[in-house]
Amino acid sequence: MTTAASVEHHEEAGDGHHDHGHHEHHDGPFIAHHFESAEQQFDSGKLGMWLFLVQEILFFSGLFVAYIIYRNHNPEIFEAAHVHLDKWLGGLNTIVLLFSSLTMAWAVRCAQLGKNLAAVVHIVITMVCANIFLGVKAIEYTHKWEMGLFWANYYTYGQPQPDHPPYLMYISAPFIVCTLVAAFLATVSRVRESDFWFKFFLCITISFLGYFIGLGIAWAMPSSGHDDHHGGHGSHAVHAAADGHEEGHGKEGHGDSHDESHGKDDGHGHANDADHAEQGTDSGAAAMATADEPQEEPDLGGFFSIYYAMTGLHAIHILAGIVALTWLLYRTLAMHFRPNYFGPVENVGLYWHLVDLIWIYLFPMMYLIH
Amino acid sequence: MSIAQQKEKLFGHAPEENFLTESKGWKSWFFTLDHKRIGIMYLIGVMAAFALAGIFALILRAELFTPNQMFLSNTNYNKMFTLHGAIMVFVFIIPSIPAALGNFVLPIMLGAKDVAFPRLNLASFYLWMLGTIFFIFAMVSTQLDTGWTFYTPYSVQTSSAVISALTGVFILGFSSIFTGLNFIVTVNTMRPPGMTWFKMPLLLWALYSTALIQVLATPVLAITGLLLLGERTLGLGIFDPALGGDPVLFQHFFWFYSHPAVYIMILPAMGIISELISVHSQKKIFGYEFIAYSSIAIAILSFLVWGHHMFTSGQSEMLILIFSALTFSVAVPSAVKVFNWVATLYKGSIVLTTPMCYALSFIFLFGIGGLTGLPLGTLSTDIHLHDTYYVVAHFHYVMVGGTLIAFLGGVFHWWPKMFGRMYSEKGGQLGALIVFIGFNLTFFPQFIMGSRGMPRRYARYDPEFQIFHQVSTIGSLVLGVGLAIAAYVLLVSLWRGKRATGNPWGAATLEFQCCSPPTFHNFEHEVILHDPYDFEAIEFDEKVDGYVPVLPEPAEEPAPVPEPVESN
Repeated sequence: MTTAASVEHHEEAGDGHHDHGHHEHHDGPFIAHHFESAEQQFDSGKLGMWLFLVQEILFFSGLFVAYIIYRNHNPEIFEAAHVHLDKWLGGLNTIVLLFSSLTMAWAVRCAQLGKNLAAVVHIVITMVCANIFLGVKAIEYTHKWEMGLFWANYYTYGQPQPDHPPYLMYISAPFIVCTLVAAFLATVSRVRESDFWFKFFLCITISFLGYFIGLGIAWAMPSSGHDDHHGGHGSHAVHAAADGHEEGHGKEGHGDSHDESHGKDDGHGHANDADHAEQGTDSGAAAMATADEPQEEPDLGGFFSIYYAMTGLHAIHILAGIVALTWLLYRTLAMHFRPNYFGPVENVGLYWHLVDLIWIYLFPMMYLIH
Repeated sequence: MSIAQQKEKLFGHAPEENFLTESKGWKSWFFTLDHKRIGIMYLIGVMAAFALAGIFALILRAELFTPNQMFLSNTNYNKMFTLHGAIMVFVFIIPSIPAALGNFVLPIMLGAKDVAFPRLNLASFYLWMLGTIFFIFAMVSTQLDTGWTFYTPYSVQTSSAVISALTGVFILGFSSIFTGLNFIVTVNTMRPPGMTWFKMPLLLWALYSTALIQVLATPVLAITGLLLLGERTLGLGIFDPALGGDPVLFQHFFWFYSHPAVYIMILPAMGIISELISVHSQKKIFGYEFIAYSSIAIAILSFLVWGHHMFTSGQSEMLILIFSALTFSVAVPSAVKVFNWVATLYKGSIVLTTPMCYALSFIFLFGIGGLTGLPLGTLSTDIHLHDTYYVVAHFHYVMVGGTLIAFLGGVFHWWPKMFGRMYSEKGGQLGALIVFIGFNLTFFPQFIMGSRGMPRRYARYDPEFQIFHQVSTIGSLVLGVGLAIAAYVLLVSLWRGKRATGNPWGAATLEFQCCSPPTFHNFEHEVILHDPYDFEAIEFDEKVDGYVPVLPEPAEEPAPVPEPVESN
């Protein structure tokens, strides 16, 4: 067990927006002095979390409105632009996030039953998935930047690209540092025979390795949206992702150019059909064929402004989720949760599901436009 | 134990320790989780912000004394009115009633020990501090000259400190969101048994409606600010027409928050007035349900009228018509409230205490402010009055004549509760009178010159408007003097004031059942729940020298703790 002070510290440092009321207590059952009962405390925390989620949805709503307006004003830009997004990577990330939602829900169940160690396993898997997502996203972003597919002001696609800085290195540096620091601290804890901290930092190290798994998968995946890099068939690597769900995508993911992958996509609507339906756009495949000529392409900066704003903000929420999950990991390892006290796990779970849900909307809105 | 003894025991003496004295040292304040201390810290903070922005206003008015330049260049004039507006709106008015008074009063009124998330509450306060620091940084660096509205594309082009001011707005927004979130959860889950929704004092209904707006509208401002930051730092191009963006979209986003924000300012003020009118006329509030529901109605309608700020910005005619019609509908719940307050006063035993003076000024000034809003909601007249001093006068009548006056009334009403001291009633009344006169002198001439075509935000003007500007400037000085007197009266009371009893006004709400100042846990004894406006349940007790609840006749074996009284 640990002192409440350090728990509080973690929470403050981590996700300042979360429910602060729960565990301000210093005694075993973690009931704060101003609550009458554990139920009242749980209900308060949960209502607070739901309100926070409502707030989050409204926070994103501005961007969704901007998306709708610009899409209505310039439908041709959106259709021309989506070919630059790799729907296989986007689809992979969708599956990764859905899977992480499953493990998160599982972690909540474990915490409810008081199975702290099983909860730890599921929390770590969730964190690994979050990091895989970020790894894939890093490849997606840097690949676009290398081609000059920036937001409006810096959009230089189609122009000769000067030597660009090592974007991928810049993005990966914090992850490398975090992994090394966590691994180092795990070693130190091992040497000092501090079992608790060893487990904690080991879990952190493992979860950060997810980022590099993500990089690897995305690197090896066939690219469908761009002209030169990483050609060839990457189905091996995709299978190596150790996630059975991905097979379907992997097999089809070997297009070299965008028209090819379009053709394929039209053929295999599979899991994404539902998402297509939500779009409700009726522009046909004919429009797409014309959009493929790079010379005739309009300036797509407007689309990429919205793309980076929405996915960037979403990625920041994933990062915040990782911080929240780290805090949960700590508390779960410390065996804080029991059948009458599991509010924090449940609330972080709610947050995590919302972050997934936002991605479920972003994916078809950005990647699957027709 | 006789009833008299019981009363003596429960209400007769103040405990030796109260929330102000129970722990000492700066740490006990800076890391406190006590909603009362956080409320007091907010009170000090917002008052300081108000004084600062008020000084800006006085400088502006002084510059406008003559039509030509006196001491402010045109650029400096722009910066001065921008800082006045931005600090008043974001740093003072929005947190004033909910965060300062609400934090102190809400849990006690509800009968709870604290808000639901005390640490989130403290975090809100520090976010407020941080946001304010960004504003101050903007002020001492290159200032800000965009107006408080940050309209694009100018806010993207200007070289003034838009980035730090926007960061401040973003952070202050989250402070406001967390306060609102905390209040909603507190009211929903922390009510003690017996405190049903319709036994809540009307201030709680008002704060609850306000909190709904804070949680639902502020995130839109946050994302707007973030996008504008992206616009300035990265060139996102979502609002910048040079990059294919839409500047009117910014206006929509901005007003989608900032119109509801007007109700974040006025709704809690209306809640305070409901309390003051009823308590200081010792009469049950007229039409409790109507006032309660009208708060919720205003909160809902506030989300549907933002377009009336943009009648001349290029919306479709159909949209303008719809927004105009919806704007009129907001007048209905507001008028319901005013009607009910006046009906409460009718045949009440009105005592002209200082809070009551402010409450009466509020009804008068808010009446003018509300009614002058209707010509602005009317399309044809708005084209004429748009961007003139008429608009300035209208919103100052609502924000200053409404919110500030109610805030002062509330401060005077709960001051004895907060600090356990009575202020000089004569001094308070004098301050209220001078504030009322000064306020009208300042802003009434602005209606006249505005309707004659004096545009707002101009540093220079035609000599024909000079007389109005001069009256207005003199009025602003009078207003400043009035506010200074009010501040002096309050501060002096801390040292010289007579000790306040638990219930100096004869109020029936719960915060007047605990001692003044309250102890750390708010209530020393179990609360006696009754209708918050049932003044029959309160009586004056000579021995206690204050008001106490009427206790039931004791049974043969008097119970150690009184049973809750159901009086209606």
